[in-house]
Amino acid sequence: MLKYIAKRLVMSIPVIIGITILSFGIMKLSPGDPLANFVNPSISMEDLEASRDALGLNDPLHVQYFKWIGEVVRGNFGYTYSGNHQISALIMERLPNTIILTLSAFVLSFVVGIPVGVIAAVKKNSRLDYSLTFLSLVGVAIPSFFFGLLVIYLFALVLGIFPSGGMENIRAGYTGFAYFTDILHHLILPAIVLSLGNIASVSRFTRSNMLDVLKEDYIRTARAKGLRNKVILYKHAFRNALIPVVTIFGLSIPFLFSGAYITESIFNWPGMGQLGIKAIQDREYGIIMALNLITATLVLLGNLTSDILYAVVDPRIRN
Amino acid sequence: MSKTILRVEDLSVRFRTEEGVFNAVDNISFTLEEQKTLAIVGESGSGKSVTSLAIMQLLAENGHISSGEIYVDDENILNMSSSQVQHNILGKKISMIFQEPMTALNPILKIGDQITESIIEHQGTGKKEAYEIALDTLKQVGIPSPEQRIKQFPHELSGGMRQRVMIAMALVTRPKIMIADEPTTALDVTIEAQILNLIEQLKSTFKTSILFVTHDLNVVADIADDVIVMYCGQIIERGPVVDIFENPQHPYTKGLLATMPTLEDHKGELPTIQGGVPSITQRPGGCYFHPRCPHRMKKCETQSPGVYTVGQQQVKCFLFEGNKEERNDGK
Ligand SMILES: Nc1ncnc2c1ncn2[C@@H]1O[C@H](COP(=O)(O)OP(=O)(O)O)[C@@H](O)[C@H]1O
Ligand SMILES: [Mg+2]
Repeated sequence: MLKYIAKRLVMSIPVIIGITILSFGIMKLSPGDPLANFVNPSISMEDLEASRDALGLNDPLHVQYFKWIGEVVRGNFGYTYSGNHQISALIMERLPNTIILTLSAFVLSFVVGIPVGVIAAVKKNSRLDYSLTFLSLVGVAIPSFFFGLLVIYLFALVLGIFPSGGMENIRAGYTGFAYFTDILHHLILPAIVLSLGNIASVSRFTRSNMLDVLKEDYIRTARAKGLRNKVILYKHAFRNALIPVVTIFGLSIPFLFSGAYITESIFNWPGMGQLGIKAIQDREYGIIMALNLITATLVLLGNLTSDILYAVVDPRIRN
Repeated sequence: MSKTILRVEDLSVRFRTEEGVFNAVDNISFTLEEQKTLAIVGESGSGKSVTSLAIMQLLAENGHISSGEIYVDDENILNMSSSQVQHNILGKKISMIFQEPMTALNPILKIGDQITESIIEHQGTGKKEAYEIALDTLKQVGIPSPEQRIKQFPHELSGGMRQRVMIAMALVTRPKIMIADEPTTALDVTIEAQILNLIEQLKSTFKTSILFVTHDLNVVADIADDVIVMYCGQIIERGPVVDIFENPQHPYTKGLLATMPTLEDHKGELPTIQGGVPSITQRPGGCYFHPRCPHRMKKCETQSPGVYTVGQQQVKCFLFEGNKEERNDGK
């Protein structure tokens, strides 16, 4: 088991390197000159060249790459063009907020999606199953900006039980536990909106896996042993049905991360999505590259987690 | 006289298919005596598995028992609720082993867990005691180094070993009846012989009666006491194993024997029967076997024959119409 995890970790090293090369390449290919925005129009060509030299922009590409990567591993993503803010500081201000939102949506997707799928499978072709099928179709089909607005209208404007946006009640200045519940209060609507599509697909996937597993020979064996239905369903069927579900753990991370861009905009959630959209509008390549790199690394981590979980639930993978 | 342990009376099984509702098993009756082996033989598609699964009440969703009674220890299990059957019959009085050892075990549970859960369920023993019993049973089914095997997963075992595990799993609760549905068909010949020996030997150690299902008459000769020959969901001949082998009466039984490689001398005079078993949706009128029968007569095409006694055997065929009629099974 440990050997397997170590092997998977080693295998992801070249992927990480690949990601950084790609990020760097895209940055280099993007049009425009980093100096163009800052220089005094009256500067001489020689001085311009001199400052290019000083900034290392005339170095061979691989030298530039190694300099850049050297900074990146130390957490330095450079400075923004306008205002000269430290990019890593901007990101660190936002990243935790996005992680809170994405992680909540992630947990919600599986904590709700898996049981719903199991229930639908166990009660196959019942009215409950049909209703759940209908709801998940709606869940997959409805665009999140529309669902988000609907939810805001209903729960924030009409019922007034949840705030319509933001992450905390700044004026209240809560601390300690009250601060925590305040954030939770703000988190519920965006987390539901962000996870809706995922809940729907996780539950569909769980249902179909569960139905496939229930047709397996070993389920018939379990029945022939006179085991109780609960044991057959949960010990024998559910655990096998969970194996493929684990693979979408990893897949759902990039899905939720990109979904967060939209959800954060709708709910005014101060996360990376907001930062990213603003960066794209302002052509802040440094921020975009940093976000790409972080997102790609998270995707990689997600896949790694999936693979490890896969081995945890399926003994056939371990050796 | 030995005691009857399983009695099946007029059992019929129906399946709903896209083309309508069809009988897969048609009014069959038989008994299994204590500590005997009854073999059900027939080509693939003749209704052997459906019969076994009907007894276990494990038929597919589109199938149901449309008539009949199944007595285990003189109690009709078809009158029991499904939870009673689960608690008192399955895995406790009747166990079943299946054809495919590769898929019949749960891939993510350890061998030990899969064996002990039956003991814990049916005998209420603690985990530790169940583990000891499981270990002991693994020894009895001839698994080398059972202390290691018990901690392994099914994929770490060969097909033959897995089938031994299945047998251990079936016998660990000391059931009175074991149904074995083609337990050696998926194995190669040498392993097959070992497993057959094992079943034969365990029958006396565990004092179990066996319902042994196979398409291969070869297998039956050594282990069965009595034989039932099935065709298209009906029993077309039955009798003690010696008589069936030495004196087969029904043209179908003769045909089955003729295809056996060990009976070289029968070849030629008994041509092997052509074709295969028709599906349940395409059974012919009259005697189901008539389209393939070398001795068919006019009435075979329209009437279903009665069952006639020939020596120790009962045969469902018009060729024996002059003999004593036993009963008219079916239509
Ligand atoms: N679930 C089912 N639905 C429809 N037909 C079935 C089903 N199960 C078995 N049958 C049919 O019943 C007949 C007997 O099958 P089976 O008992 O499996 O044969 P075998 O003697 O080879 O074990 C076959 O024609 C088969 O196609
Ligand atoms: Mg079969």
